[in-house]
Amino acid sequence: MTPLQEHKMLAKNNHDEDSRQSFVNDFRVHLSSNVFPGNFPAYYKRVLPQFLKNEKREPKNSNEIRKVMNKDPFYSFWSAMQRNSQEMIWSSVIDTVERQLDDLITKSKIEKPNGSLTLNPNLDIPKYNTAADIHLQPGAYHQQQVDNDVSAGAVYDKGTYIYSMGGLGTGNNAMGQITHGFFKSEFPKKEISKVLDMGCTIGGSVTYWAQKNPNVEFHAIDLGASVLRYGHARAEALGAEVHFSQQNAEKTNFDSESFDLVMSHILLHETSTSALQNIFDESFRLLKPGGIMMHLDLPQAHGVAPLESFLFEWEIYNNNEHFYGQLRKMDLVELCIKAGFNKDNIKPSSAGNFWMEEQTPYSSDDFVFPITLCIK
Amino acid sequence: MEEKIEIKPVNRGKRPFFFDDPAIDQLIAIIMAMSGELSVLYDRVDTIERLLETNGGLKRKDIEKFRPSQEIEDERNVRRNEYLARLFKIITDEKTNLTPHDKMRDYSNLMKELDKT
Ligand SMILES: C[S@@+](CC[C@H](N)C(=O)[O-])C[C@H]1O[C@@H](n2cnc3c(N)ncnc32)[C@H](O)[C@@H]1O
Repeated sequence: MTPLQEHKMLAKNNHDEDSRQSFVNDFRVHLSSNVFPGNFPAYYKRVLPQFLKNEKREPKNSNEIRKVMNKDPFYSFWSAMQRNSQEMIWSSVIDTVERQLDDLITKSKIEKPNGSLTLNPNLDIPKYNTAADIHLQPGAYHQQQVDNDVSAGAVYDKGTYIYSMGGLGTGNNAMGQITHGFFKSEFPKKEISKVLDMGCTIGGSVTYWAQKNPNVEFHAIDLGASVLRYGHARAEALGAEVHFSQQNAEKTNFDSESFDLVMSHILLHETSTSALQNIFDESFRLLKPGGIMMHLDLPQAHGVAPLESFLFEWEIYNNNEHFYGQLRKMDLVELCIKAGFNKDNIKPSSAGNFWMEEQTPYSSDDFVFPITLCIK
Repeated sequence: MEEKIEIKPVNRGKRPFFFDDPAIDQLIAIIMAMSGELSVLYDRVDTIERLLETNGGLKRKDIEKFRPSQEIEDERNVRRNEYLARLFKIITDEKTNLTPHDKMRDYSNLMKELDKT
């Protein structure tokens, strides 16, 4: 595995942790390229013929397929391995972080930062973030066990890189590279002076934007204090100026009409039906007239064949990505209209890794994310 | 001594079991953990061999300090892939040879076929 780009906050592996993480990475690559594809013959040769025989018709949707595939031994074995590989990601990096947590906390306190960090210990963490450990990260984004905890951020930085099998790029910022490339080509002349990134976690994406646009004022918000402390120190270590604050994207304390661009990177699918509308409403409120809302998230189900949908939805049921199941079916344009955007200014778009500057192990396969794009 | 902080799950959500007997899921988890540790051990042996070869002797802290260069990591990557292929051969073979259960010929049918001219 190509190592992540070094920075001051990145927890250092010992010899065996290094190999363990490489193993988990290689194992997940093996699963996705050599084992996962077997689900297709399992379905077409075994599960579907049985279904046709019993029901005298094809399965109507992914739920019907799930019921029968769950009983297939090949699918079960792959699923058990996939689920375990996800747990192994976190266990392979947690030891590393636990061992040097004190040191990381000390390093996270920056004397004279370029950006800033504003925490709000009284912020309520909504249920959709606490109901389950999202993608199985122990303690999720918000757990704090010691004063000034940065562990959730430190674990997330190393873990998501393995999760993506290197696809996030060595700066852990692929999604920022994608939205940045997309935005600059879509709006080549648009002047921006103030930008908000919602659900920034450790600021992977927004920090990339800030590095590319040193004269723009960047704000980044998240619910979790630990990921924000880490993200702040990480951005400073990378020489980027970002203002982090602990806020709920559904209702922030920023002034109305104060931003040129409000964006997010895979935040939406980890919220809830009502939160999603609130986030669009809030984005609308925060934008200056002519300002742009750009939310990148995971693919929706419209027009996707039942079998593909079923396989795509594996993470919803087995990796604690619960709300993604709802999001896949929602009409986001309708939510944008409700938020106040004019129908003609809503431009559902998509962007993928072809917008990235960097070559990753997956540069040759296009993965494409839908973008909810509106102009106020 | 300060108490060591443990990063623990707060709420994992309900664990999915993919087999009727949860012991099978548990066994798969154990096998995978073991596979991982064997791979770690192999890398460690590889590190020791390389250090011995270059330095003639060995200090334990040299092992900790050792990090594979890209070239060595590529070699290890090839080795891990071959290792994984051997380990999970029974699963990947099933993928390519997968036959509907009702089309699988059992032994007695096969014997009958052998006698056909
Ligand atoms: C998958 S992560 C986003 C990754 C990140 N944007 C990046 O580019 O690397 C989702 C994040 O959204 C945050 N989040 C979820 N709901 C939120 C809300 N209502 N307000 C602010 N942040 C939220 C979570 O705490 C989590 O850190």
